[in-house]
Amino acid sequence: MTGTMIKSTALKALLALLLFAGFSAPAFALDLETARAQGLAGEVDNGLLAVPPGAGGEAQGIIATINNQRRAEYAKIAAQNNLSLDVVGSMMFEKIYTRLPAGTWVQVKGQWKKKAG
Amino acid sequence: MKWTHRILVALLLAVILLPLAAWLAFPWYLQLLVDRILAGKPFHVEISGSGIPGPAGFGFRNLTASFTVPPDQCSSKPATYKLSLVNGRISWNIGALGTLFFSDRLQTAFTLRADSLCIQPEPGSFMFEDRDPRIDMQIAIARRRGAPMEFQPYRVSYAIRNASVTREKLRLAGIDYRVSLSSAGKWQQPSDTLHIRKLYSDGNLAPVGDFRALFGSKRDPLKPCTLILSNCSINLFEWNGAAERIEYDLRKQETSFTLMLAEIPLNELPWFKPSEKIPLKGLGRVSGSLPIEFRDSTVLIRNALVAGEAGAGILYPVKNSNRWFSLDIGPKPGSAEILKNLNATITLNSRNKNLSGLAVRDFSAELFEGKLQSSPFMFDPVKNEVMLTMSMEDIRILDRLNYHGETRGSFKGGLSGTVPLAFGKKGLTFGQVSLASALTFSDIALRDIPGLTGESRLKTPLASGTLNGTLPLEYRNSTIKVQSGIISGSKSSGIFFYDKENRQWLSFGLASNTGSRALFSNINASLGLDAAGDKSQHYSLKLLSAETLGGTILAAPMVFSVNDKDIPVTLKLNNINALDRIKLHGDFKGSLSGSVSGTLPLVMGKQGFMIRKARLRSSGGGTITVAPPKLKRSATERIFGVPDQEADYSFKSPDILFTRHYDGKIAMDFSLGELKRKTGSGEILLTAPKGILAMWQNRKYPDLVTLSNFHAGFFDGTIAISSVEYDMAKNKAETVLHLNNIPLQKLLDLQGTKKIYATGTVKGSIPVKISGTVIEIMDGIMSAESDGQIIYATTPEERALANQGLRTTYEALSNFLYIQLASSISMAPDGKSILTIRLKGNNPDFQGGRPVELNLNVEQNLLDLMRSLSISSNLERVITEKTLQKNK
Repeated sequence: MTGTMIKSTALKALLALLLFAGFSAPAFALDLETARAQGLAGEVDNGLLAVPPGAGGEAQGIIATINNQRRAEYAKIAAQNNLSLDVVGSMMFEKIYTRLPAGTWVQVKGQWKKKAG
Repeated sequence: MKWTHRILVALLLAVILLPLAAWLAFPWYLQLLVDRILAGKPFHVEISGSGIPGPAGFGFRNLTASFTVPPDQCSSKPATYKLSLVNGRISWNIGALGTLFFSDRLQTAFTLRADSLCIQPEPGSFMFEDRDPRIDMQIAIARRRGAPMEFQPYRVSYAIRNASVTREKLRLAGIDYRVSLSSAGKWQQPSDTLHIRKLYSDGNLAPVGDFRALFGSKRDPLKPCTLILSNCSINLFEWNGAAERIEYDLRKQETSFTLMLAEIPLNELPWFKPSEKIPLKGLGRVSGSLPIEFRDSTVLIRNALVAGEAGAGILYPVKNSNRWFSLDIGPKPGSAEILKNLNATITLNSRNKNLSGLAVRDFSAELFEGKLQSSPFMFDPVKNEVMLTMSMEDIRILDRLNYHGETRGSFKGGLSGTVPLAFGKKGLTFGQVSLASALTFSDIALRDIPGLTGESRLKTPLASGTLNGTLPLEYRNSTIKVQSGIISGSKSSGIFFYDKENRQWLSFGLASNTGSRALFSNINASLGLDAAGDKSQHYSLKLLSAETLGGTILAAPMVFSVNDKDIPVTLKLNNINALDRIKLHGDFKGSLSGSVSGTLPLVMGKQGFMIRKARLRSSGGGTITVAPPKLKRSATERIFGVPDQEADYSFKSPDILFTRHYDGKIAMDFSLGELKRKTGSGEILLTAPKGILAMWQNRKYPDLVTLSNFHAGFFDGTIAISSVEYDMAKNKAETVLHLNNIPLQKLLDLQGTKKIYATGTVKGSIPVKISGTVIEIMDGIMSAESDGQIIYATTPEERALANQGLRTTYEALSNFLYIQLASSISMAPDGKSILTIRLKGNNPDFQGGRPVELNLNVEQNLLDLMRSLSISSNLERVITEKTLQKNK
């Protein structure tokens, strides 16, 4: 029980650090914040990005790149903590969600919706 | 010459010539002679064409005699009869005649023979005819002086052989009777057997004949006007009837007697004699009595009856099988006779004193406890036709009907209605028949239904149980109708399928559920006969519908002929809960549920049945568990060893297009909502699988099942098989699996690894060979369909422990963006497999993102891998089992 708690605390700290780092992405013509704000990209509850309904494919490139990066990072965390990628991704989504401005597209359990204010 | 001499010579010549002249002139004076002899007698004889008599007789061309029987106490009118003989001859005894010269009286014998003898009353209502008759007469000839010779007959005998009597269209033939009259017997005919062999009606042999009776002219002094026939017998429809005595009152012209119908084996009656044309067979004996009264040209039948002995019956064998129907006609409690109280009034109609027909009225009887009546009808001997309408009221013939198949089935029900019928030259024909019966049947074995006999259990399903039901039937206007019929299956009735080892593996339950739910209810049907109205027998199925298993079944209207090579029947099924009725046995278990709807076009042919593209679909589904027999295993094996071979197959929403040919070839286009295979080691889900299954295509290889055009969703991609032949006997198959659009991650998950993550999809072709439980993969290839990412996530500890080369690989694969992925896979029958993977791409975080090419070779035992993956689940199961045992 105690071990699990320690592991969980360490994991949370790692996730917070990751968020603080802000997934330092390479310079794109379209950055993530803008893409999300313009409704071209949305957050999925597996911790990855996806194109929301009605959006064009303008953000496809940045979404793929960031997802690759996120997946690589999640994999590391998963390996270190003996968790699956999906679990790490879900936990990440919870953290990301809290930081998202209202009106950002989010997909929870397969359903797209905009984050309430 | 002297005068005396001349006179003497003349006298001598006269003595010689006069008899000669008399002899030569006999034909001219014969009639005068006869007239003289018969002067004062009540009959008159005319002879013509007589010849010159010889020493022993003379011939004649025609002899007609008419004689009148004067009125007496029994008859108020005189009766005149005319007798004619053609080409006859009267002969006598010449020796006896010679004595007449020496005596005044002699007795001699005359014999009268002719080509034919004919007797007719005047006017001619009938005609007696005898070919080649012979009448012998003993006559006394007396000669008195001064008086003509007297002829006194004192004995006449006439043996009638094979004579006939004709009246209109009716002819009695083969009549034998010996007439023997004598003065000593006071000219009374002594009792002798009258035998009439046959009766013809308009040239056709009637089913009445062989009449025998003792008959003589001597009357009972107390009944002087009664004609008595004794020891009478007659053959009626090959049935012997007998009456000890028939008394006919000549004055009143009436008689009354009872014809006792002898006990006769049923199979000797014409309707039940086994033959090609008549499938009926009689069993046991029947007897009866026919009380007859005859008065004023009217025959009255009063309370006639027919009864069968115990065990008597009629059998109707079903063609080409050892099944049959039986109709029990033996005595039953409260019903000793099958036919009783038969009454009828038959009047012999005459027109211009000629028989013009038989009029039958007031015909009624009790038949099988019901009432049978007939409209008045006429038998016209000229037309030789009978037309009548039979009315039936609750004739319980069905109560005596049984079906002898796998079990003894029985029926119940009364038959009511009217049957107009005609019997004549065309045989028996029916008019507008109207019949109704609430037919109830019970204990009819399902195994007696064609196709369910189970005679060849390996290839055909076997049925068990019996059917019961009620079918309210009505036949009117050439249409048979069933209204609101019910059919139920007995407890545990069903259809069972067997595998090659003769083990039951699937059953379809047909038992009616508890309560009043029938297997089929509200059965309504309407079948028209002779719909097309031509000579060939046509049927028109106007309606066939029923409620069954919560749904409905409906047949499309159709017209067909019994001569049709193929008879198509299309059934529409709607929401029939058939899947609930399917049970699996042996190595198979599971439960299915859901309703079936669709169209089932059946074609009934002489060689069996076929199904033309039946379309059946269901919203339901179920789970089938295939569990081969478990072998005894050690505790270690139970925990770490071979996992149970048990696999659950669950499916949803089946939809099939089914075709069966007469020769048994089956082709089935199928599609399912999903098919899931779940074993201890994992789960494989095929979404929307569809394909074509073909069975029994080749008679030489009945165990070969072909699956073609198979396609299913598999791990978000697709799996397809263009064709595979599976030998059920050898458990062998060889094919190529075509994979498309399969997410790489899903394949990695299948491997059980938790360290590799990947995006992108792959396609591939994997040749697979199955032999028994052994699977072999030969040179399977797979390649990525697009770019993707592979992440091999390692912990710092793992990296630290790895050698330099491996560490570099770890680093490269920590975020590898591939642009090319190609793989080949082979697996030997023992599970040993070689997997080669070639990757081209880069890792943006590794060595500045330079292009990297990786070649990986993995050698492992795939079967061992699958086993190891199942260890955890086995452990869980064993622990649970132990816990349960402890808690007991």
